[in-house]
Amino acid sequence: MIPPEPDSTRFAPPEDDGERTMIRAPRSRITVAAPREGWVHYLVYTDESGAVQRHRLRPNEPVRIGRRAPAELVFKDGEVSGLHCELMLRADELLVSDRGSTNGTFVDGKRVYAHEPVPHGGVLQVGKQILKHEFRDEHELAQSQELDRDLARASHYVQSLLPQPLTRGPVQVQWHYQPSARVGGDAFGYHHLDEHHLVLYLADVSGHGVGAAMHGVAVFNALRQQSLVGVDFADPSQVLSKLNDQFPMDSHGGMFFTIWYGVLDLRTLVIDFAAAGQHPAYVSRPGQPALLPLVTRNLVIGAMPGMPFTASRAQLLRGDRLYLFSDGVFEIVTRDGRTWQIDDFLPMMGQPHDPAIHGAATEAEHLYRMVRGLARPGPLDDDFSMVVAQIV
Amino acid sequence: MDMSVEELAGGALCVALQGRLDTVGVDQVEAKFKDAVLGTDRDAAIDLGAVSFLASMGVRLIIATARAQKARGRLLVLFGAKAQVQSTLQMVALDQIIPVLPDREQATARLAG
Repeated sequence: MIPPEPDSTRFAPPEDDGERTMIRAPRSRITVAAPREGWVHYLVYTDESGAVQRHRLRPNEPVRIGRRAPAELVFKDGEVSGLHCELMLRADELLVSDRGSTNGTFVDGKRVYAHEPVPHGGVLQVGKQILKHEFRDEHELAQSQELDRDLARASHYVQSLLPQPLTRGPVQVQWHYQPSARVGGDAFGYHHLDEHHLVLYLADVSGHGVGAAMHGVAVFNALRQQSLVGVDFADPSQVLSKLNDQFPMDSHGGMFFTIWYGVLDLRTLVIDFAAAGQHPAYVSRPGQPALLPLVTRNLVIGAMPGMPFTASRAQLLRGDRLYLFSDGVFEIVTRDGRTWQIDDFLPMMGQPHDPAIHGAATEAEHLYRMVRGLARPGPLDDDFSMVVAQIV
Repeated sequence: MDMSVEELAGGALCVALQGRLDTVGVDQVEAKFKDAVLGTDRDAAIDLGAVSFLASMGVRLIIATARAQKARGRLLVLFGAKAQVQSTLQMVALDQIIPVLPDREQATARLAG
């Protein structure tokens, strides 16, 4: 508990059952600034659903962070102790004291113990949780929250367009989509062209925000409603050429997109496909340790009018699993600060998945959980879109 | 994201970028970068040797600048990309519209030729 005297060197009594590191805090005089009219302190964090939350801090009202009550801020995170740390706002200064936590409390990457200031804009790390100290004008915050709500609405709209999983038939498809805090422009889908052909695609618009999401939706609608005039949708090179004509970056806010588009013949299991600016889709085959990449090399869509787009063909087999995913799946920064590449992610695919063991209903969700667990705390930098098609 | 500008033998511009060319990096450098390349009527080479990561926003900046150069009859080339950035350039097939060269010497020769 933070004592009433701001220059005290006493420690918070440890109440946690974990490892305790008792280090005497240096005696320091804390300068208390005069409160600023209309400015408010918040702790900003991401909840389990990925939504951004703000906890308002009030002067001399302690806020405890832990894994269970009586903490005011509870995170069900195995790396957060029962009662982990405590915050106290004095005038315009926010102080944090570790409560003898197992894994420590960190401010801007530095471990802290007792009565340490958390600067404006400072980042508090508690287990896997990242909480940012915001000190800002209430009116400005209201405007910012309106923008956040717009982003959330854009995200919900995109999600409402995504297809239902295919749980019956010769090809069963499931997916997992987790928008980033900034909302990206991922769009993916699948549908039958006729009784013998199944189309699968995944597009990723450059950039983030509502503009990228709107562009993604326009591309998505062109594909799912088959509204590209004069195109044989069973021919991937034709589809990509027409998309390139239809969505030039000059007349679409400078945005381009990458795409993987494939048409599977359900009778022969031959798949025709083309990728533009995007990494391969991959096939995992029972009994074969190496993944089979399905890739063609074409320029991103919208960058240059009149470009040719080449397609390719592969033979799939019963038991194969086809993985389509966006770069947000593998372009992560890990907890030790390393930037991942696709080769870091590939070994995760094609591994056995058991909902009873892994707790995720689908392999796509299981892959998300694994990536999420390896990435640095906080929301992922980009949308996570993973589609898994099983040939049964 | 940092940026420095110098002149290549033959008078072309050389813009060296340093850091992550992602959304944040592009925000930091875009205005300066465009001003440097498009603010003068010269061919230009972009040195990617110190770029550690190239995201879609970085690709977008390069494409937009190359197209603006082309529209006024000037050339833009890229050189020096390390393995990870080179892999991204390959994947987005940028070499289909912009020369991607291994080093400064070849970039200089290409612009001189």
